[in-house]
Formats: sequence, C-alpha cells, structure tokens
Amino acid sequence: MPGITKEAIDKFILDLNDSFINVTTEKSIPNENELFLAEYF
Amino acid sequence: MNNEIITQRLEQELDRLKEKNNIYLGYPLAKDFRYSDLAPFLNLQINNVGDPYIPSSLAIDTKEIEKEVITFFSNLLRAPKDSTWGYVTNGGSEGNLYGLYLARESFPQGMVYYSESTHYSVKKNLHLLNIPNIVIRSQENGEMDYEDLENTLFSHRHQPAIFFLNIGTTMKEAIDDVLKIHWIIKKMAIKDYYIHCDAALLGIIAPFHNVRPAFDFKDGIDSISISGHKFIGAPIPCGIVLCKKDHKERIGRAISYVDTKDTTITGSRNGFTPLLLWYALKKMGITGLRKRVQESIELADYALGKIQGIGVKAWKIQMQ
Repeated sequence: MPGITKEAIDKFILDLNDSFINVTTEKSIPNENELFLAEYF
Repeated sequence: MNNEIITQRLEQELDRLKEKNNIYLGYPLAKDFRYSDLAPFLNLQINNVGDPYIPSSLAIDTKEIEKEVITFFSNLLRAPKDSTWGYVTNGGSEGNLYGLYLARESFPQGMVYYSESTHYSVKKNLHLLNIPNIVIRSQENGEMDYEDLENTLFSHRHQPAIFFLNIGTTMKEAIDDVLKIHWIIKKMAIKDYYIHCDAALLGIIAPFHNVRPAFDFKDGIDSISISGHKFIGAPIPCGIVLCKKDHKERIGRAISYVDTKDTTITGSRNGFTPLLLWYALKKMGITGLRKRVQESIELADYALGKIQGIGVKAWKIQMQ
C-alpha cells in the first residue's frame, strides 16, 4: 500500500524471521494459508 | 476541564496515533496522504443531506464536489454517462448494503449468492435486509467456485438471482469473474438477475492493471462499492457507491423540510469526505494513480520475495 517503504518490509522480515523461528521450535510450522501479515501486527 | 488538561490529553492521543500509524503494516490502508489544506473546512457545518444530485434547502453542502468525485469514478468504471448514479458513502460496507438494498427492491423474491471468501459485513447486511442467501464455495485462490455456483443455481432457477461478487477479497485479493457469471446466467436461462460488486479493495486499482479484469459497468454490473480510505487514503473512513440510475429511482422518497430526495442509506451525510476524495484525486490525477498502482504491485512483489527468502511458502495473486 502507498506509504509503506521497502525498509519497513525489511524490518518486518527480520521480526518475522525471529518470530517464525520461535513458533516453529515450539509448535508445528503454521499452514502457509494462515500466515497473513494483518494478523502478525 | 481546563484548556491545559485538554491540550495535554490531545497531545497524548496524537502521539499514540502517530506511533501506531508509523508501525502498522499489512492492512490495505495508504498512509502517505496530507490533507492540511482542508483544515479550514473543519470549522464549518457541512451536511450533504439526501440525494447529491438534488440540492437541498439546507445548502451547507459539498454536493458539487461530491458529484465531481462520482463522475471521476463513473468514468473509471466505464459507466454510461446519463444512466448512472452514486454517492460518497461512509465506506465499503455501506456501499454493499446499498447495492443489496437496491437488488432486493428490484427483486423482492430474489436469492443472494456469494462466496465464502466474502467480507464479514455482508452476512450482517443480508440479515438486516432479510434476504434469503446461499454461500458458494471458494477456490483455493479465494475466487468463487463457479461449478458450485452453477450446481446451486440449478435448484433455484425459479427465483431471481442476486450475485454478490468480490473484486479483491479481504485476505487473498481474489477477483470473481463477471463474464463467467454472465455465461452461467445465459446457460441457466435466468431472466431476472442483479450483479453487485464489492470492489472495496480493488475498485480503484483494477482499472490500471495491464490486463483489466471484468468487473465494471461495461462488463454488465448493476452496482459497485469502492473504498476511499484504503488505496487513496483518508483520516475518515469513506467510499463511493455507483449504480444504474433506474435502480435508484425505485427507492427515492421526497423529504419536504430540506427539499431533496431520500435516496441514500443515511439522512444527514458527511460533506467532508467528498472533499478529501476530490482533493486526493485532483492532486494525483489518472497518471498519479497509475504510478501508485504500479509502485504498490512492485512493493508487494518485493515483500513476497523477501518472505519466501526466509523459507515461508508465501504466494500472491499475480497482477499484471
């Protein structure tokens, strides 16, 4: 969406990567269809 | 409450909103707008009561501006010039409620068909309007399952059909194909039907795709709802609804004390949001909007690549 920068995406990926690792070590890998950006924030 | 306490409280709220505006990501809401030029209007009573095309005796409105906004969208959605009507709504859900209201008034015995990917507000709208309805399965990509639609219609051919289609579903941005719906209507020999499109998400984006999806008046729709605060961006939720003028004529009632017609969902209507949309559209123009769409598609592709890069099997519907 307009107003979102590539830098914001990059930061999100870093955070997501950390969260994703935490989630996958504790539970199963989330279904790809359940991974929505809106739910993350 | 003294002025100092009021100012302090407002500053707190402003700081909180600035922070939240700065970090939200993933919602379909633009955040690059500046409407400070419109601040003087905030000190005025503005009320677009009733039909935007019929001046009211109240006269403290922005109906001329509202009509320009409607004309812009009518042209964008290839609507016939003299037989299309519309108004600025409080958002996509009101536009969808309006479309379904017109459909019910056209076909009181009608059955509404909509996919399981449809926005949550539609179920509520159908409940409010008390229209019988059937949920159709979605395909994996979020688009309506046309085979399921066809099979369902087969058992209800005696009833007028009201199709509620998605032009950009909430989670997957899937687009139901209006031409396929027309093909099914023809195949089933359905004579009485109404097509409404919920284009809250893509109504202002899809016209700029290199391969334009079938979703507008030229493709044979009866009404459409588009969100204003999403892709254009606004501090107040807003949108537009467009319909064939004949449908609107069925519901209009005169309001004697303000000398206009009651053709909209609410009586008093926001006169500030038409200013927001008008201002943004004038500033951007068609060229600016096209560029905005292209940049957004590129950013989405960038985000997809990055997410896949950390091992997530992410995907998106490819826009061209």
